[in-house]
Amino acid sequence: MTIATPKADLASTSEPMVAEWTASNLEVRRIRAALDKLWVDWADRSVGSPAGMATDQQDQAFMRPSTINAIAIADSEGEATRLEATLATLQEYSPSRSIILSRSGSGIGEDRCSVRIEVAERRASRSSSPTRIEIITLVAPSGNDEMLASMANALLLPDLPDVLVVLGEPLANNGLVASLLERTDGLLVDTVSTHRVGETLDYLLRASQLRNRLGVGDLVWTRLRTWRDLLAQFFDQPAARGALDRIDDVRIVYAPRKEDDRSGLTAALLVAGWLGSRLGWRAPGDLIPSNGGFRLTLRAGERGKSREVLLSLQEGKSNLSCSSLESVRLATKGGEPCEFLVERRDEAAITTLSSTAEMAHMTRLVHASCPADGTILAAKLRRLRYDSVYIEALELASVLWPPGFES
Amino acid sequence: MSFSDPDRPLVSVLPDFPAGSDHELHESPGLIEDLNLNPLREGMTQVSTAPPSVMVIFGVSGDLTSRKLMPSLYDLAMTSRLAEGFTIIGISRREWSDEQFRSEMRESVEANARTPVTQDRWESFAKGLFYVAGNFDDQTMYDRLGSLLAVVDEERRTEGNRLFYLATPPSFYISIINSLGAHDLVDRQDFYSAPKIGWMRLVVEKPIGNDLLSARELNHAMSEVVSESQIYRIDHYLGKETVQNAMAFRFANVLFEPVWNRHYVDHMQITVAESLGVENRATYYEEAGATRDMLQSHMLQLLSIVAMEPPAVFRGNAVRDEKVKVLRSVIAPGGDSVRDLTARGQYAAGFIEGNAVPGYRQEQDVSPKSLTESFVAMKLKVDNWRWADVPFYLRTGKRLPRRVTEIAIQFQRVPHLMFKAAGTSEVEPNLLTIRIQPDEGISLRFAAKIPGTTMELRTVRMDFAYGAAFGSAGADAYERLLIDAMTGDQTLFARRDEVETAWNIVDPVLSAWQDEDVTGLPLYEAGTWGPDKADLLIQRDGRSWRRP
Repeated sequence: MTIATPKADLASTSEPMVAEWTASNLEVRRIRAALDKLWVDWADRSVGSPAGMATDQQDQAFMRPSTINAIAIADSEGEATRLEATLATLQEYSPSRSIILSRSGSGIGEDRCSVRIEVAERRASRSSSPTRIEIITLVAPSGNDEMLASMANALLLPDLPDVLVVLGEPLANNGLVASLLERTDGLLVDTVSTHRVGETLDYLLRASQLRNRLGVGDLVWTRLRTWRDLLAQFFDQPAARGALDRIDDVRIVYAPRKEDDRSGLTAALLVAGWLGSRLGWRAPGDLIPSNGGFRLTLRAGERGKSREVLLSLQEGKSNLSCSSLESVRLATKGGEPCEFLVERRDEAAITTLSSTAEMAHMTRLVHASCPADGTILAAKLRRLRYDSVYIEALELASVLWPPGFES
Repeated sequence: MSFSDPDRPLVSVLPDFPAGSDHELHESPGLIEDLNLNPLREGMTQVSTAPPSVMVIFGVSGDLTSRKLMPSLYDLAMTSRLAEGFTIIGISRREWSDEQFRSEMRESVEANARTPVTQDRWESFAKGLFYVAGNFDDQTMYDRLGSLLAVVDEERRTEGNRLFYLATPPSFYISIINSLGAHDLVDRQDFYSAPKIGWMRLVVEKPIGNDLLSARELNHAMSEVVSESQIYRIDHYLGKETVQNAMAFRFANVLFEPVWNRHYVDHMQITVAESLGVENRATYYEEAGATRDMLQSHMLQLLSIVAMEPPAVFRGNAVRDEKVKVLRSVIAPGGDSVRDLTARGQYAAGFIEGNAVPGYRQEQDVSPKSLTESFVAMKLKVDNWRWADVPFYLRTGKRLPRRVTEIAIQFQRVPHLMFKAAGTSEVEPNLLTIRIQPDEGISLRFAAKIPGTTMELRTVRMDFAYGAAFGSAGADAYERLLIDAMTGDQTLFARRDEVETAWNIVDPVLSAWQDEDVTGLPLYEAGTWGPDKADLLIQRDGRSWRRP
């Protein structure tokens, strides 16, 4: 076993400590012993640290605020590295223990397993107290799903919520996901890179109904929070609320797929699902692919007196890093004109515009940077529970997506 | 009128309330009816967003606006917590144009806001900033304000919703409120009277009066113009995350509430210590002193939160009812008992964090013969079923060794110590400390066995650090309170009877002090924990002050 001290990042109170080894099989006892040793070494090194188990503060046993266990699945070395980096830099809210499971084993013998343990203390700001973080990465040859799942189960900190984090795909027909889903309290995914849109949305819907409504979350939905808030704000004004019943033209422009494989397609679907489910719009069929996007005419209002709502999802051209939406425009084509537009202007700002026949034209700009994955993940981990508004948006998004069509 | 009378008002004209929500009847107008009317708002209850409105700030050129209000409003606007047409009208005597006002506010925001200021962000925010110059007793100024409000309502869609913020010296409060009423810029709104155009609310900063009489006078003046449900008395302590967490700690954990009473608690200590001196507030502080400045407001708020009964809901009057009940149960020192149950003092020169600092009377704008107390300690009793015979010791002062605000709950000793024979003759009683600032968190002191072959015990402390659990610092207190005022949530604002009852506790002490011969107001050296008399106050009961 080797113990290393990689270069500390800015948030660390001191350098993280790492133990890693390869073996023919994985042993829980050995992992626990290595973890304990790392913390003992850490304490020896950090005497005097306000959060260390400092030996000169004999009358004070610090109670560690424990948050959650995160079990993450990464099926490639690249994914595992991305996950480690994201989990290690979570600042606002981070799991007390993260277990990353990988089935590739790339770079080592096909029949070998590997273990990497990293411990660190981090503080969000100079004035805040440090938080302890433990990341255990286990790599095993494929075909060991049950073994990996049981290892994760044995390494969980007791009495904490357990969240399964899957940032890649597939979700469906994935033995490791299925094994772990039975044991966790929540499932957190990021559909920003998904190609199997229909399959993924369907799987999330089914998962949400497990064990009396499992907490299911999608980082794409979390990234939409500012968009939903700004759209909702237009209609906080009683004078504007009536326009909700007249909207008949909805245009959503989403970020194109970029080199990192991320796109705003699922964001567009979810925001369409959200608008439709909240406003009672019905989908008579699936979205129709059209000119680099999709379109469909929905029905709104009571049956018999319903009106048409033209929904358009269009791939944009921007090169912004947000990989979410570029703009959402709600308008009326006929009758009293009105327009409500939320548009990302650049990496740091979103502009809004609203105008109706009765109300003065109004524009403004709000600060809205493209949040880092760590920020989004932390926000979602903080509050992962059954979200009926998300699930209803997901239901409609799933209905809208043309079966068999992959992005 | 008979039941068949067609003119008889129907019960159904009133809004529907969920069962058991009597507490809501006299809540702020505009709150309940606005809930859930926007279908896109469903599921977004975790983050409040202010509705379209105008905030009129009287005394906009002052320190409070530049340090707190304007930076908080900018941060709220930039994080889309304010509606798109949100507008600020500043009023002061300075002859500024709108452009000059915007330029002044930009400097304040750049210096104090969390969100970095860029040209385009500022321009977007500054579009909603307007200025009216004038004296607060100049009636033509209110005409100009009225005209501007009408224009703003039309052009920025603020729909008649108005928040009047009095950031002026308290001596102007009554004049401003009366003028607002006289010019029809506010009208009385309550649950039974539908607003004419939009909601109108009044925010006033402490101090609310400088004694019971003046507080009643001010409250009466306000009540002549607006209803209690339109008045928001700010005590920024209530906006602090840790003060709200004290309520969460008590009422969201079954573990502590059963021992939160006279059967288990020996006494409580509430400390608000400042290491700073009077700084640039001498003119105000000379009149106020520590008792009026801190104890009557912040400290009695903390006491009421830590001692109140569980409210039925965390909502306006439900919480405030319970706080008032506690304050009404407080037995305040009065007459002869003031000598034994209170201690006051004034700081002399000394050292703070290694630096020599002057005494209070040597501070700028302080009279060399000043008899204003910069320290006060007081023993209070809460005479009710839960707290009978449990003393509450309060102390606050300037130029104490360190800045700390905390509530310490000292539990009783165990009735029998079974470890005497094993060599432990005494263990410290359990102590629960709620740290409000700095190092926000909660710690619990308890006895533990020292590892080894003997049964020897010693005291250890378990520490919950708020920042270590949640990382982020949370919203600034003013941001929280401004949003609450705009959304009509009065939970974290003091009600009239709360303020007046607090004065009722403090007034007899102030009167007794006035009658005392104070030529010998005790001095304490800066950097110490107050005058000797403060120690005597608690030592007389066989207890001692904590050294936080």
